[in-house]
Amino acid sequence: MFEEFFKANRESANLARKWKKKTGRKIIGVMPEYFPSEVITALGAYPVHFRGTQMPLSRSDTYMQSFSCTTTRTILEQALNGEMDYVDAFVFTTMCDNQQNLAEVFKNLFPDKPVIIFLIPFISSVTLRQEHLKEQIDRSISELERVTGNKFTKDGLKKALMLHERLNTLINNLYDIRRRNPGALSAYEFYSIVKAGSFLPPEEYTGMLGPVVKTLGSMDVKDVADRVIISGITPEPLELTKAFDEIGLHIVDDDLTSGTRRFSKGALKGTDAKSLDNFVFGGSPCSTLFDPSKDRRSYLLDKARSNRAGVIMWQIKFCEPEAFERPDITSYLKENNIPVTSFEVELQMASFEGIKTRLQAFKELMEVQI
Amino acid sequence: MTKFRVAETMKEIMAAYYLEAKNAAYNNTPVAWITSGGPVEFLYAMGVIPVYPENYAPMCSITRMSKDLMEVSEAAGYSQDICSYARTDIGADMTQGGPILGLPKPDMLIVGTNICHTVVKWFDVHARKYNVPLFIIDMPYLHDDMTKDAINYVVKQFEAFKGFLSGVLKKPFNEDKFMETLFLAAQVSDLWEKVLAMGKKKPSPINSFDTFIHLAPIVTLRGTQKAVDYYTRFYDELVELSNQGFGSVPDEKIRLLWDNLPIWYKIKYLSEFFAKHSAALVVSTYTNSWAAMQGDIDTDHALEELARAYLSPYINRGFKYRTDYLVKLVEEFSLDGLVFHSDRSCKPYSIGQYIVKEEVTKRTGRPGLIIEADMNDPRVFSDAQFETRAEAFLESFDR
Repeated sequence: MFEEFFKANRESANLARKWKKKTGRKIIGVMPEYFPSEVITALGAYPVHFRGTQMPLSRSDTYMQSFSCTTTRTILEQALNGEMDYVDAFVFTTMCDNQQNLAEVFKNLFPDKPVIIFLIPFISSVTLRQEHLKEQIDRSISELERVTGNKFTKDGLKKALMLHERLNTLINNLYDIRRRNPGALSAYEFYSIVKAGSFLPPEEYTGMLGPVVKTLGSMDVKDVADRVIISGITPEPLELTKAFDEIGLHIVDDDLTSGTRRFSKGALKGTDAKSLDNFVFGGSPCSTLFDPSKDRRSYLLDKARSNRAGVIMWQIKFCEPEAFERPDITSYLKENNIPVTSFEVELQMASFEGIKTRLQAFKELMEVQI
Repeated sequence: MTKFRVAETMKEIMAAYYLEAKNAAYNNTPVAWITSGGPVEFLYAMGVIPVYPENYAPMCSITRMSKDLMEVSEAAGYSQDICSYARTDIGADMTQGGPILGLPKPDMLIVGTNICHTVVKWFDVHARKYNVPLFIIDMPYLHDDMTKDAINYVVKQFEAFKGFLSGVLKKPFNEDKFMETLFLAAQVSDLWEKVLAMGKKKPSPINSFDTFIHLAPIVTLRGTQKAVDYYTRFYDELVELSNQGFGSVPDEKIRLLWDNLPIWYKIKYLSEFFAKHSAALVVSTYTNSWAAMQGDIDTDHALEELARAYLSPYINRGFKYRTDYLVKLVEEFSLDGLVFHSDRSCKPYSIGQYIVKEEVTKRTGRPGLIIEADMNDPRVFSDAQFETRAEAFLESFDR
């Protein structure tokens, strides 16, 4: 049932090339995070999302220091290895300093591929934040019109929003099934399904998701112990999710930027200022956004309590936004008797033995505490 | 490093500044913690004392206190991979440590994003601890040219900032004092630019290690008469020295640029090392950033000019701008080569240096040296590794 999704992740570049040839559509490479790919679909193009992947690093070291996060370094490595040759243009956001500078690296190293920048506002005034987002999307759309050669129309947008809403609903259904029945599928299977959506045309992916969600939803519910929530940006390297399955830690939910945080607020509703604001800022609290109206500590506490779960912070080394929040979140959850731990990964890691030992110890701690 | 006559004055004005800040609560004067690229003019206009964690962190480093303070924040869970200024400052705040035993408590926190996004996270840590208002002014990174949209975006936030200050301080925004402050700030930036331009002289009467030290007043006191007086005297002294044929490095043979933040805990060592090799670092992108924070203050468009100025720092610009700018400096300062500090703590400054270095060398024929280090964390610096690479680089000029 999951093989198609595994294959999509294993052969993402070939798959994207195949779909490009088959559909004749332009492909826009979307970098992390918060660009509404709905507008790419509306323009008759097809978005492919890059969030870094497990691979050895070599050529990227010529251009980026070892203290750049491995999300950005593995993205660059993929590009240098020709694994993005099918991409017609890239969209970058300024969610963090690493991504901001990676955009400049791409402009320099791949001058024949347009780089479109979507500036994320870090600002106190909500009104100005919304105005700024509107300006950003209008500019991005007009640049994408040039790249795709297509006009952005109301009708195209309407169709794209419906398609993405359907996709979002299916992913949210998948999340609901896991919350209700964590034993229905393994962590590796779950995040493989979610990740595959990065590389497939939305309509194709939606078509694949439907039957899987239906089958999983009809499975008998079996309660499980050792429940955890993972918190962070993205569950890479994906192979590491297998460690959770091996150890018997059941991930019942997450607050990942590429996961719940992205899907729970629904798809983009329109390109007006408020809809855009909801798309970027409407999800659960995110370390890469400035939104003082939200508190990630209490959000995680509520989530841990309602799921009877511990919290594991999945940290990517050199991710400053996450590293700044970790101490406060950890102490807050501990004060409230929620088991919490964290580990740090680099995406090119091949062995996870140290992390497995940590996860095993955490499982034992949870068995005492919960 | 040269012991300039004005150095004593700087010590006095900086001591007076910190004394006034430390006594702010007794004097009922509000204190704002602000980032180094934050628009301080608004604070001076409203009688708020601006205090800079980014000034205090290097003070801790120069006085050899940063390592212990960082270990405190690291023990509290802050990763060694985050900015060493932040780790030093958080450690100093937790222990009330450092040379002035901690900064005075803030009444508000002001962030400008024109240097990095790290400051947003860093000041947010303080906002949670002190439960005081945090105001962020987004000065977006200019991937390409300066745009009218970017300027307007910042101008609107400046207007909102006036409202914020007025609300927190419960008094109307003082427009007259603000304009007076803007004029003073522009004068200071102009004077700073003239000071830095003395590096064009051969030999140069000043080098980057001097300018790193003499940067303190323009960061902290920009917009005050004290800073204008100070840099006027400093500039006059440099002109006088230059007229006498004085060179900051005796027997200056190699003229270099410094890119990125200083390595604060190694300033003396680096200064002596380069001087020993007759190499003068005559210009730096870092100190130049405060010269960029000026505009022709036209009272009808003051905020536009100010927005343009605050969007301008080198670190807030894309690689094409950086490359063109360095090529221009090679010409203007008659440079033989460039030294790039690859600063583990400062990603937006450092990521891309390899590319910029290659491009500048291709266009100018001038070689570049990369030094792997950290601005405030002495545990990252290796004397032996630095010397091997730097000596090979400097010896290449003899051939």
